[in-house]
Amino acid sequence: MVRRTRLEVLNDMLVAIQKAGNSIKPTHLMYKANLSHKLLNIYLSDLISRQMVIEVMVDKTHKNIELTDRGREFLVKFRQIKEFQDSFGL
Amino acid sequence: MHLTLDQVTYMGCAFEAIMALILLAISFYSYSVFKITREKNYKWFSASFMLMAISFIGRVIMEFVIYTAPLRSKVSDVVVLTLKYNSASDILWHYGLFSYRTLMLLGLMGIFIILTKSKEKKNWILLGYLAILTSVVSMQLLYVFDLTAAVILLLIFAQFAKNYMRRPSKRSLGVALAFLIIFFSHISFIFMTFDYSLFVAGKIIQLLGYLTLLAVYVGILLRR
Repeated sequence: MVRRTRLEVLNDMLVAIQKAGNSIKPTHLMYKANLSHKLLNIYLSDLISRQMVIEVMVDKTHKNIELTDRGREFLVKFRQIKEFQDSFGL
Repeated sequence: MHLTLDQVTYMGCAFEAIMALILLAISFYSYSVFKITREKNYKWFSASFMLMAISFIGRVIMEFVIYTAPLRSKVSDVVVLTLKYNSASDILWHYGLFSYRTLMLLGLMGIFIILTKSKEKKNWILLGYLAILTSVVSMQLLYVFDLTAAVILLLIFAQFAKNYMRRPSKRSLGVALAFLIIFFSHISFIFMTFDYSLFVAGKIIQLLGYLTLLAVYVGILLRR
């Protein structure tokens, strides 16, 4: 099992949100992205600070994570980086 | 079709300018990937392509200055002045060629080091020394530079071919083919002293190689 890079984890999280229709519950995101609760919080704050996702309150106690345009741009950029990496064997 | 020396030089300049632009584009892209991923191999990959681009840019400027100098065509007017300018052109030609060859070899060696994931700094110093030595020797023996470049290009091709076997795709094949084509261009340059048309053929093959690289790069950018 190869350890994922920070970028790969962020990509996995964004892909999970996109697959769930651009909005997902934090617990679902944790399972879909294969993360522990602690790591989810670390990476989620990273994504929020980069404005790739936003937290939206569904009701008084529950919130959802939603993908932003910047997040969608990152997904495209990540696919290109992966392609560049694979094409040049880097 | 019969080409004059001037036509060949201007064609060479145009081709080299295109190749420099392609190398610059890949270098900048690789650096942008480094800024996102913070992985050092992208930074060095960018630096290697940048060295190759600068070598072409330098060569274009050098050739342009030498071949567009008005005094070159006025040899019969003022003999002393012409000799003075010719010696200046010769110095520019020698330094220009030396810089072009050194930077090109350093760039190619850089790509080879990144692909082989060599972490030993002593190897880098040795290869850098060999690049400079090759450039010095090739001022007397023209084919030494092209022979060395061809050997490195063949080794780079072998690495990219290995990458294609591991991750078969149109683009990884494109990268391997591009470097194989550039390798053949240098083989053509080795024999140009016997037949000057091989220089023209080599330039066309070289441009084809870099255009293949451009096609791969554009393909990556179009990925959605």
